[in-house]
Amino acid sequence: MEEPKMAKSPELPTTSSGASSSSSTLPENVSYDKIAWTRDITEPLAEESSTSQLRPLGTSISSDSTTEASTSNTSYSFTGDYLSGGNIADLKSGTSSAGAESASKSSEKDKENKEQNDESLYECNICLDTAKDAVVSMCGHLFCWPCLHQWLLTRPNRKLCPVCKAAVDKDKVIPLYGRNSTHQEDPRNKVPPRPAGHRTEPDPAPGFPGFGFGDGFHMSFGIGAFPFGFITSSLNFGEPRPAAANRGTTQYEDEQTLSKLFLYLAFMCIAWLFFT
Amino acid sequence: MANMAVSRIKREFKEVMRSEEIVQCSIKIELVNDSWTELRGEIAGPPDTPYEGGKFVLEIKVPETYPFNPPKVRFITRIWHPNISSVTGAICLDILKDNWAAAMTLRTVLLSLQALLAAAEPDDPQDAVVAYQFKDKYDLFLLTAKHWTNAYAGGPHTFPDCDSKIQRLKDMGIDEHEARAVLSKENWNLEKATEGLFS
Repeated sequence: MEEPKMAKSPELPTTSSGASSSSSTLPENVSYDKIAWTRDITEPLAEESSTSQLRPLGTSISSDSTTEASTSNTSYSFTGDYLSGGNIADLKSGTSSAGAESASKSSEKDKENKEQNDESLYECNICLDTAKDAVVSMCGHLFCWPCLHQWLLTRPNRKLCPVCKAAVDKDKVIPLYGRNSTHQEDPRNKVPPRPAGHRTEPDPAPGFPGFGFGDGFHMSFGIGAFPFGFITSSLNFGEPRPAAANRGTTQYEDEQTLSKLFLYLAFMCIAWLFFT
Repeated sequence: MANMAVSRIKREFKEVMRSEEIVQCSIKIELVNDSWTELRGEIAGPPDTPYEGGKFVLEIKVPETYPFNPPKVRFITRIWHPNISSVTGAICLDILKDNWAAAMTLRTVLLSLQALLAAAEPDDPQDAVVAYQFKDKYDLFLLTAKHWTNAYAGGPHTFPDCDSKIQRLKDMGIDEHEARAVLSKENWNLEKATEGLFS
């Protein structure tokens, strides 16, 4: 994408020849971000190249680019340095930075190799494939949820981590949600359902302190007839309640049935009040 | 599930092939059939043990439920070891039974077996006769184990005394393997061995 633009720009007097020749020798595997970076610097160069100052600089660049064909795309950085500093000493520091850059290229290759090794970091410890519907145990070991589920089914009375033999339980594994996991089907709908994440609400901000003596002890005064006092004390108005349990857990189901039960009780109390 | 067993075995096979141990010739693995359900392993006898210098061949059968159940492993090479049957090659090792974990691989199994050769557990024996000899007459156990390593696994130590006794029994029409087993069991007492064979 950069090549035609560089060839077209007629304003570049001597650098254009050097640039076009060097751009034709650009290695094919130049990374995208590097190209974008050179363009940022060459644009101000194109504006100021009409000034006469640049001509000797351009020649020095072309000589540089011929000697160092491998760093041809970095040769523009010299002009950038020169334009900002306007100093030949800067130009020399530019060459040294080019050397550093070629060194960083080789380190990039090392990085690629490392990344290939790092892929195994995200392999399921059971199927040895990249983990699907990933869950992580409390001891930090990664599994596909179907794999771990199968393992826990295989030995129902000895639920141990397949890697370190720490205790593992269905309720004590954490699902890992990647960036695009919402676009996929909800893994919990699949069989076997993946356990839900445990989400802890942050502590509520302190509001009206009430008649409290320090933390934890609260006192309230009230005068009321039997049913109202009963209702207020049993329904706990104004007190912070624990966070609702997550969907799909047994705790959530229990809470649902309990709340229904209390609702029926309340209706019965009201009905009793009316009919007596 | 069978699919998972095969794909995992393929990965593990590659892992063993890439491992350092294969470079050191300490473990080896090869395929027996194309269905990836049966493999042949080989471990080198660990140094400073009576099994040093020997190569022990193992039969590895991969169940359909692998890796949730352990592979079935057995020594094909005859070996004199408290935790390995001198007759069938059956192995008594916890990780091949109850203590199997799904994260274990062929490589870790082979290395564990190598470790078992270096550290026998006579209190949890597979072969009671060997275990008794190990606890009671350790010198004789070392001699017998070295002799078996030489006879079956290509070990370096030869024992002419043992060979001549086996030859005596062979002359009486006894099979060589049986003669060796009986003599080993009777602590290389030729008279007792003959008594046991012909009574």
